[in-house]
This record gives sequence, C-alpha cells and structure tokens, in this order.
Amino acid sequence: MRMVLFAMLLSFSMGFDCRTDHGEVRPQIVGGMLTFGFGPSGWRTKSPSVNRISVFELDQRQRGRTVCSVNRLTRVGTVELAAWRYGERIEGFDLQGCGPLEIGRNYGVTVSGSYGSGVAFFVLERTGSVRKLGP
Amino acid sequence: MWDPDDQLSLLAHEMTHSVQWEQGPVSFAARYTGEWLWNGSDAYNVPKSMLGMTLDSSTVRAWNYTFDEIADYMAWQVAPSAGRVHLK
Repeated sequence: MRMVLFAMLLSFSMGFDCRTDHGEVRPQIVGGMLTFGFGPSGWRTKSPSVNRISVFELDQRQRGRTVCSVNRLTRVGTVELAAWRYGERIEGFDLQGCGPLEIGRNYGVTVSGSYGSGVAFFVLERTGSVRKLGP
Repeated sequence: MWDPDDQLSLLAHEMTHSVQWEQGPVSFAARYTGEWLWNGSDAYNVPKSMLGMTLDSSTVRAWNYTFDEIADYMAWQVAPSAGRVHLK
C-alpha cells in the first residue's frame, strides 16, 4: 500500500512541468512589421511574463549568432507582454542589435519569462510574409 | 536551442530538486504535490525575503518556502540574468 501511494505521488508530481513546458511564440506580419505574439504555455492560465527575447540566426539547425537581444533591466515583479514588434523598444528593457533581418535566411526566437519559455523558428519570404519553420 | 542562460538556470533548478528528493523521496513527492496543487504557478520564483539566505543541506527543504521557490533561488544564484525567474 505504501509503495502504491509512493508511486502515485511520484507520477503525479513528475507529471507537472517543473518549468520545462513551452510557451507559444507566433512569428507573424502585423501591419507590415514582423511581430511575435506570445501565448501562455500548457496548463498555465496567466499571460506570459517576459524577461528576455533573443532572435538568432539558425545555421545547420544550430543556434547561431544572436542578432537581437531584449533584456528586462530588473527581475523584480513581472511584465506581461502579448506581443512584441521586432526592433521596437520596450520601457524597462535594454535592446541590443535588432537590425534588419535577411530575406530567405532561417532565424529562431526564444522568449523566456516566469510563466513559461518559448521558441520558434521562421524565415522571411520575398513576398513579405513570414513562414514558421518546424513543428 | 533554448536560451543558454535559461538552460543553466533550469539545470540548477532541477538539480536542487534532486537534493531535496535525496533527503526523503516520499515526503518530497507528497509535499511537492501539495505545494503545486495549493499554489499552482505561484509556487515558483524567488520571494525577496530569500535573498541572502544560504542554501545547504539543512535549508534546501526549508518549510517557509516551497520546493520550487528554493529551487528557483538556487537557479537565481547560478544564472541571475536568465529570464525564467523573477523576484516576487
């Protein structure tokens, strides 16, 4: 009985994410601008609290050079962001790089925050659209 | 492919759980489950009152903080610039 209870508790607790679940990141074109939409992850109901956004080159399916880095200046409290337009300054965040992206090149974006982190891969098309890569 | 600082932070977080687990698997699972059910995602992140606290074998399962708060405090110390943890 004790072992059954232990197994139940173990599987129950291990079933929880323990911060490894993924938030949703949606690369999209809004008003002609590359915009990343953020959604809550898995079971979480709160909006994503964003502390850091990185856009990087994707080379041979590996993380390459970081071309844009957005870092929150403090980690006190939370800032909920539903979306971020590429290159746009956010109050309370430090922005580095974020120059023009190349059409036809593969990029990745990671978003990390207190209620789940997310990653997405994308390529900008000549037509002015953005195509999400991978699953 | 994840943010390298986040990976380091998460690794420190999970390693802390392994130490908590080693000090009693059954009590760990029971308490962790209870904390998760009671607090949900609020069980995470670092209370300001933790700052300056020394983590060792006697405090890694302190009762006045959740297991995840303690694990996030360790992660905070290892990778303070990571985006996955904040002070609350």
